[in-house]
Amino acid sequence: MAAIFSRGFDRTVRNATLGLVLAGGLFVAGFYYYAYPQYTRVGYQPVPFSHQLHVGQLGMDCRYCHQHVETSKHANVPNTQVCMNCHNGVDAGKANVKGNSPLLSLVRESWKSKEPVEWKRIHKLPEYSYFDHSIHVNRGVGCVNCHGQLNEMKVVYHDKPLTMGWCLDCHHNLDAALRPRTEVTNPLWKPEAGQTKESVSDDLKKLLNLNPPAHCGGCHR
Amino acid sequence: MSQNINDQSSPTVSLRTVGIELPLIATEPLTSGPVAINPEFPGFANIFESTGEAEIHSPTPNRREFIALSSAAITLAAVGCRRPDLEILPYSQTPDNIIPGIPLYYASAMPRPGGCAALLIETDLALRGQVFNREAEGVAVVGGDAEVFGKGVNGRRLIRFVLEVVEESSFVLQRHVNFQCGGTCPRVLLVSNCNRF
Repeated sequence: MAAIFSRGFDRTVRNATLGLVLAGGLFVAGFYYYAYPQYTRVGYQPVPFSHQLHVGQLGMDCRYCHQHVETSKHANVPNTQVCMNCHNGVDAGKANVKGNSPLLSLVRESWKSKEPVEWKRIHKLPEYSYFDHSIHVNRGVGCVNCHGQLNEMKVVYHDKPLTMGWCLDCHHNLDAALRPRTEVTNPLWKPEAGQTKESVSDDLKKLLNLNPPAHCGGCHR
Repeated sequence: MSQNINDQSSPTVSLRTVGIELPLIATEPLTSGPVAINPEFPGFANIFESTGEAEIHSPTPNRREFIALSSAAITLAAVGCRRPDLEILPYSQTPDNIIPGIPLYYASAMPRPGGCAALLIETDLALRGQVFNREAEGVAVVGGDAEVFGKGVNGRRLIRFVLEVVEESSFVLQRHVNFQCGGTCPRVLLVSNCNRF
């Protein structure tokens, strides 16, 4: 039987190892820069829903679609019925705002077949971390604090890193994270004259006696 | 059968499979056995003549095959791997009294001497369609499924105990089952009796 490796294979292995190290370094560098969720989890929803149009131009409140955000740990993705409240091109006599648009064909099919629209998850925390939307929203943490300026996004993307260090920055220091409870879903909120985000946040922290957990068990339960 | 291969007049081997005839060439006489050059074993002559017939295919890959397989595997791993898509599947039609993440029922246990009784708790979300606290409180205590618990002394004792708890007050219920009572008629669904643990 012929030998598997030739005599010159040692040199080949050395060169290949060097090449792999260099290629691995380049890959890690590229991954570090471009493979964040900010770049990868974007722009492939089955229905081209625009937050810029619905929130930015029409001024819809976040809770019209994500109605359980104040009572549940999940900020639910809207059911098909929520879309059909305005875009009902199927049932006669219902609100039909561009309900026959081909862009909404999947919504109409879902309404007829009773099968869900398969939305893609954009914001995803690891399974080993606990997060409750209702706690944060009810304490005055605005939607834009974690999700960015959704009113300007045609396509939702991962604007904030949502890493542990990023979470802890806020849990350690609530300097400008809080806003009045009534302004949580307002992406254009600004402090009133004579106030700053820091002063508003500090007042709310004292008023609500907030002490967000910064220990491991707070999120890794 | 052995043959003297130095004999120029030795017979030739007819390779019927390739249709040619080759003279026997060897430096040492081959003895008897299955590998002896013999018209009865014509295929073995091709090993020496490299005609391609009857080559031995070893299960061990050669160098070219090894490199080719490795390259293909690395390429597939690099190209084929990607972040898996995670899908969110909301309802088509909105159901009543559903808040994602808050249960309508949950399992609990009632301590008993030598073990426990498993309970299925119906929450206030299922019972009254609303949540009084952030987490749904268990308020439901049903009289029990006699079909499940009516058998045996332990089952009858369990049913009697739960019914007594229900009839007494919510304070007793809270103390024993460790959940708060919402104030309305409480119910407990009995589902099974735990084994001793």
